[in-house]
Amino acid sequence: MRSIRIELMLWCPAVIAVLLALLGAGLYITLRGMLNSEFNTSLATEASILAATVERTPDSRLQLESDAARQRGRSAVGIPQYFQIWTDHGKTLLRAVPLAGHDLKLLRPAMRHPVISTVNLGGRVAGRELALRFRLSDAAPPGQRVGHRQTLHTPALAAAPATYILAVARPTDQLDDALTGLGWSLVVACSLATVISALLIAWLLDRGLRPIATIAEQISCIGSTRLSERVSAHKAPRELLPIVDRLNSLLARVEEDVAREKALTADMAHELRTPLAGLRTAVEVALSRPRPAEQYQHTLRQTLAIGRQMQNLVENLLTLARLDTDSYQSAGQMCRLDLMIEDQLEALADRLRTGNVTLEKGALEAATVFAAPELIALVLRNVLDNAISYVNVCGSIRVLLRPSDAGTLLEVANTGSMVDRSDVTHVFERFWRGDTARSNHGHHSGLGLSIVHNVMRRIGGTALAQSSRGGWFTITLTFPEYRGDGVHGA
Amino acid sequence: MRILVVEDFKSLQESIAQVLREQGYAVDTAGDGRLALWHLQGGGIDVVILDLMLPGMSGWEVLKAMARMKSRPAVLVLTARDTVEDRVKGLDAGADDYLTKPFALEELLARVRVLTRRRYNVAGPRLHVGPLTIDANARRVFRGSAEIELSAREYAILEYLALRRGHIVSREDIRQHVYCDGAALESNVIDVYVGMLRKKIGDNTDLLQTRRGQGYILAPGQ
Repeated sequence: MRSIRIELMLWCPAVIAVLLALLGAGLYITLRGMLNSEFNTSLATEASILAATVERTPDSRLQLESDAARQRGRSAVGIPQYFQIWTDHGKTLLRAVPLAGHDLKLLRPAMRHPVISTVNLGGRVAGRELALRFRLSDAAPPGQRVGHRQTLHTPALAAAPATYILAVARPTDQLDDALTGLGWSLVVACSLATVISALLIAWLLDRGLRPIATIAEQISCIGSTRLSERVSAHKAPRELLPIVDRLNSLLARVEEDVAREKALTADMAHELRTPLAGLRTAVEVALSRPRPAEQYQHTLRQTLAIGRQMQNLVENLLTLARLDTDSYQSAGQMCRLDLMIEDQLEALADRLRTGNVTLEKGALEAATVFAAPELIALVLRNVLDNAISYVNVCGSIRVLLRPSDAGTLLEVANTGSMVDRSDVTHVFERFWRGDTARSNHGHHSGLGLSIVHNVMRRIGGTALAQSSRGGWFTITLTFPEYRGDGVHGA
Repeated sequence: MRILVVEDFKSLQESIAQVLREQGYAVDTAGDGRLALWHLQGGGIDVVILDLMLPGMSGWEVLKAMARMKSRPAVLVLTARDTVEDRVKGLDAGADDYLTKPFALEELLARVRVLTRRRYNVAGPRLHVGPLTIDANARRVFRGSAEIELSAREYAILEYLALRRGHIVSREDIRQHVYCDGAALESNVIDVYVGMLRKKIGDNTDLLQTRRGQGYILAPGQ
């Protein structure tokens, strides 16, 4: 897994080291260039000065004025220095005293184009030599000579050449030492800077990532039993605030969901445990002593009724679970709602007759909706069953189907409702049952209208409940208009 | 002993009431909180078996109303709510015991027996009154080592008198605690039962005395 700390600890010092190396190398190259240039300039200046002092005497000799330092083999700034003069044919005319008979390297420069070359100045002394070609000037009158300079003379020349070659050389050991020292200094400085920057980055990383560790510690303390706690953004950097905010929002949603799940689990436990207790107790009581056959039959009827109720409950729970997980896979198609209502009412006709219930429906208007037929049947069965279950004896059930701006409206109303107006909003909640439902021998688990609500939302419709004076309880379902492109309208 | 079973699941309520009656308890039933409160206000209830999720008035509200009563029966909460929070909440609200559904019938009966004994400050399951030993768990009575055969009603009257030994118990008290509510009784039926009981326990030492105009007293050594 990637680690920000490790990546930064590896990459930042590496990048800094490379940058510092490049910077050091650039600096070294620049300084070396400057020093070499200065060295060469100095050589060129010296050579020019020497060339300017060479004169031809009346007796066809060359004369060179050179101060004592140059004759001793030192430049004006105390650096060892050598020179030598050749004819353009390569005959040595004059050399500095410290050369002691050794020759400098004969180079052949063009006029006004000095040539520079590295040379060996004897032993292991490396040096640099600059050679230039020059023409002689006549000797200046004695009165114009400046300083106390010693004059060097060459032997008399039979024929005076047109140009001469003058070479000046100096050892480069000091320059090389200076450059080596500079190089090492830059290497050490860059290395130190890299190490210091790595330590600085480590410290900054530690300081920067500390709030993340603190937040992680807070999160690790939040368990399923402490979901009401929130992550504190105190002392956290501004960049982490959006994460903390989102995390707290997530925790709030999780807390809400867990509370809802707990309530649902408790309700499910109650709805399953109670009939289970009834089942077990009925059997245990029947078996506790020998009984007449009628009592055993009563117990069997009791257990059968409880079994049916539990089956109904489990089926409803499975239906809801399938609706929740969208695993209720049914293809949508055009359904005649009016005909499906007639079918459902026909199936419930016996229960209507038993309760002496009046059905007010008239002729249902033809209406077509687009949905899975199984889902529409599920909705109709539950909403009509709810009305028949809670209508009072000799009461009325009203079924209306009509078009509206929002789609197709189906109203199913029944008299005898004991649902309080304040409880109307709860009728679609799972396991919610009005008091009359609870006392109705436990045949209803409070899931039917929840299924209706869930299915209507799934097919893009709505379900509303109303309780009005006179004991009318109305469920209004709005089926969306089908636009013919596989998409529901409003 | 008189038990009130408050349960909205009808078949469970019927089964519990049936087995308690077969055990010799007087049993009243209620399917909602309001009816339960009406029974409780009538008095004479020794133990209430109370469901919490009731229509009309929840079990919590019944417990709250019972806390204001002068003579409060023992309460066994019988509910599907099984979390620790629910148990703690129920016991804190005034329940004496807590049993979750589904349950074993024997356990329910044992807990009812414990609550009955506790209500009359009896430590163990065996009651000793003079030469009589009453085993409340087995619902058997011994005189010395000889067992006395009693009907369920006779046992119930003897057990109630034994639990209130040393106190005069009126016929109305016996009727309230031993007979189901609404049972039509002949005026002398309790006297007849007490007379039969006296014969069966071989009482010739005034162990079970009649106090004219007041009732009966089971008083060893008086």
